[in-house]
Amino acid sequence: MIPELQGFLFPNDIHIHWSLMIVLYPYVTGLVAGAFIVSSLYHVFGRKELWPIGRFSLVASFAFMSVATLPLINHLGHPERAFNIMITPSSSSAMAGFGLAYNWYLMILILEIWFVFRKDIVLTARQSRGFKRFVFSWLALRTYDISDEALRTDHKIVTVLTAIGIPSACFLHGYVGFLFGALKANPWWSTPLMPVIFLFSAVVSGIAAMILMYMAAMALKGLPILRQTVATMASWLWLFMILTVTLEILEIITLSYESSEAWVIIRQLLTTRLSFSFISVQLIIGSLIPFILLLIVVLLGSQMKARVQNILAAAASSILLIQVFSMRWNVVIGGQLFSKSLRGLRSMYDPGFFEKEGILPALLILSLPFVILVVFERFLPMFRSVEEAYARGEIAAEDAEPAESAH
Amino acid sequence: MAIEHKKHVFRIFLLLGAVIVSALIARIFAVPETFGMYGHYRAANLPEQAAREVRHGGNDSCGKCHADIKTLHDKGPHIAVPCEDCHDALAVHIKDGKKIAEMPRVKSVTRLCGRCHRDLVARRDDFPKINIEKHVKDQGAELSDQVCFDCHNPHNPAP
Amino acid sequence: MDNVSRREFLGKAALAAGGCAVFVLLGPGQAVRAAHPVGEGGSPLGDYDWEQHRYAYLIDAQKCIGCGMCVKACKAENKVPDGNFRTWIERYEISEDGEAEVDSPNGGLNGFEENVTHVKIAKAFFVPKTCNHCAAAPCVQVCPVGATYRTKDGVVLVDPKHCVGCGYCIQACPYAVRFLNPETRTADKCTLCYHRVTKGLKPACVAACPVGARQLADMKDQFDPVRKRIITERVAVLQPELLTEPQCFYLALDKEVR
Repeated sequence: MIPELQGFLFPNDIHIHWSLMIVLYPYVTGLVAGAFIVSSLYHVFGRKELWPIGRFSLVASFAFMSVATLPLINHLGHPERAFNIMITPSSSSAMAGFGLAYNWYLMILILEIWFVFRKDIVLTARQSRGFKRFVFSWLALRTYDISDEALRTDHKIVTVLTAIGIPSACFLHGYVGFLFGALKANPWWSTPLMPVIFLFSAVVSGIAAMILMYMAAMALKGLPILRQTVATMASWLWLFMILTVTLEILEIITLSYESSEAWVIIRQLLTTRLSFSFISVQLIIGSLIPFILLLIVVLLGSQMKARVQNILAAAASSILLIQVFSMRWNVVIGGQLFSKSLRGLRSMYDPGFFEKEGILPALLILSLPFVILVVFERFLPMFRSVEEAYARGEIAAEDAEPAESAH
Repeated sequence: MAIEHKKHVFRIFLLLGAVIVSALIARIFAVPETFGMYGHYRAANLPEQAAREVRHGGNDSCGKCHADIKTLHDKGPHIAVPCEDCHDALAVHIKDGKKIAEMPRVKSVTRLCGRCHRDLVARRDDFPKINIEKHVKDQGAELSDQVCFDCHNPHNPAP
Repeated sequence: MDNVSRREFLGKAALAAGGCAVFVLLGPGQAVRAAHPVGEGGSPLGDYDWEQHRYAYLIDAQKCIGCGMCVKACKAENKVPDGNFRTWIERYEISEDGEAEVDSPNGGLNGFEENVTHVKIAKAFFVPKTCNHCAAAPCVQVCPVGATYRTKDGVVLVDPKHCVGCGYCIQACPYAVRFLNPETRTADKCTLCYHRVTKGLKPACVAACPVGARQLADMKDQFDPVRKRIITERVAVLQPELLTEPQCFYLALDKEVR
């Protein structure tokens, strides 16, 4: 694909080396971090209204974590050598941090899920036969203590793990922002704000995804969507999106005010190649509209019907998921559309649908976590506390108050 | 002393420890042999890089067989022009001291001469540059791919 | 019994401690591996002693005539794939108002055929570009696997057998001299013709230049005239504010050149 060139580009600069896969990777790890933050709001910060999704958000983080390496492996020139990053990692390379960050956080997450679901694993092992019994007894590590003392120990460990997990999740996603932000060669990427913007927008995408997935799961199961759960998530979402958009706009304002060497070409980039994805999608539709929708939910939510509140929150979440994706796109692809000569731009990158690093593989990768969640639910239900509360009649309608912490 | 109700905790952390240790041990075998000798890289790559094929031989290598042309060449203003600039790299023509193929013929001599001598604005003035079309016309000749040869010997092009 | 007895606990703790000992002793596996010599004696390249050399490059932009023979020679010497460039020539045409037009048709591989602008040009010149083999190379810094490195004689190289093709080094180079080789699917760039300089030959681009615009210097050779020019004349480097410490020095560089 020969791109159209405008102005002067260094001869090697006409190629886009970091494709849609590299846009997808921070998006997925952002969802990982964001889902975990939601889980921590419940497990550590005591937001009791989030009790229906305490377990689910944890497993959702794991589901996205499972597919996080796929876009990277798909992108490498030599995926069979991918383990080199863990065999001979360079201590000066931010990208080498991936090996440590990914495995460390994966370990924390798997440990935490194990401790959270241990009682269910043990009960399933005891109550099943044959192959299922075999699998679950090994999952329980062949020890079946679910006495109150054991469960109390589990609970303490979960709290500690969540506390460790928060900075771990932040590091997993923050290093990606640092990877871009610390690159002095690219003036669109190089800013100390980058890791912070990435992290905050990750939390935005995570909360937005949790809102939508919670609603979808409850609808599929025929369970009520609790207004307080949605309202709490919506207010955190609003806070984080305000912070994120503030930082994103601040970066542009600072660049424009300082008006350094790169500003001429960056302004051209933003007003021509990225005019749709940056100005229209990321800023106007993606930020302004959800801001207003969530403002209404946060300030007037308690006065409106639960159904209306939920629809507004869902709309805002959907738009924000797109906004965060467009932010990744604008950073990764935008940074490669202008030459390091600062004198030229190339035409927009077209990932193609059936290309190896194109839209179809991206969609497949994004759909996998949902498959994982469905399979997980089949063997270790994540909404038992909601189902039980509903069966007991504690939550009948959407306006129900939060039940006691039954996780 | 009995540590009550924590057997499962020990088991999971032991399992974790075993996984980490075996990964670290596996890593030792996976590190390439010469890695880290001189720095954070595979030292064996150095002789690999040095062993790549040398494809240009320099004027002396051409002079071995084409001594008369070289003598002519070294007498004129093209003395500083490498043979392999106008002709191809030695490796296209000679391998292990034996001829493997003819040197490719130059398709458009006029274009080749123009690469250095065309009167581009960016080309410095103290270098012999000329408007080829005008020059050919002034000499009363027709522009063609080989027209420069009518008056100039490329190996010693003094008119 | 779910309570853990003392013996069982101590047994498991010992196992864990043993595992840690294994890690501590064998973890830095490099030390075990490094005892394996690569070449004769201490130098990795046999007769050629890399401690005796440190290469730098001098480009005299005043002399360059834009023939593009260096680009042609580099491609022929190193089999550079089409559309990718280990070196190239840029042309600048600057009007009286200071408006600059810059171009590099196919990197200068086939030379330059016509003038670009038809406006009154105040100054115009050619500038050869190549890898600067920076002493503080950002590409070496960011490589996650240690596939790109700087040799003791000052050449930045890429190990195509270890490179995973992540492309980070390509993004990190401020001079855009790196590219992803479509055939090897690894990062690629100018090697300073390492296979030639270690045999006492000049890089293909230096050997090809008919006007001596491109020169190789050995900064460890007291008698090298090119070294003398670098240290005594007024030289410039590209994007000095980035502190990459480029080892490619320019004479007659203009402010328009980045």
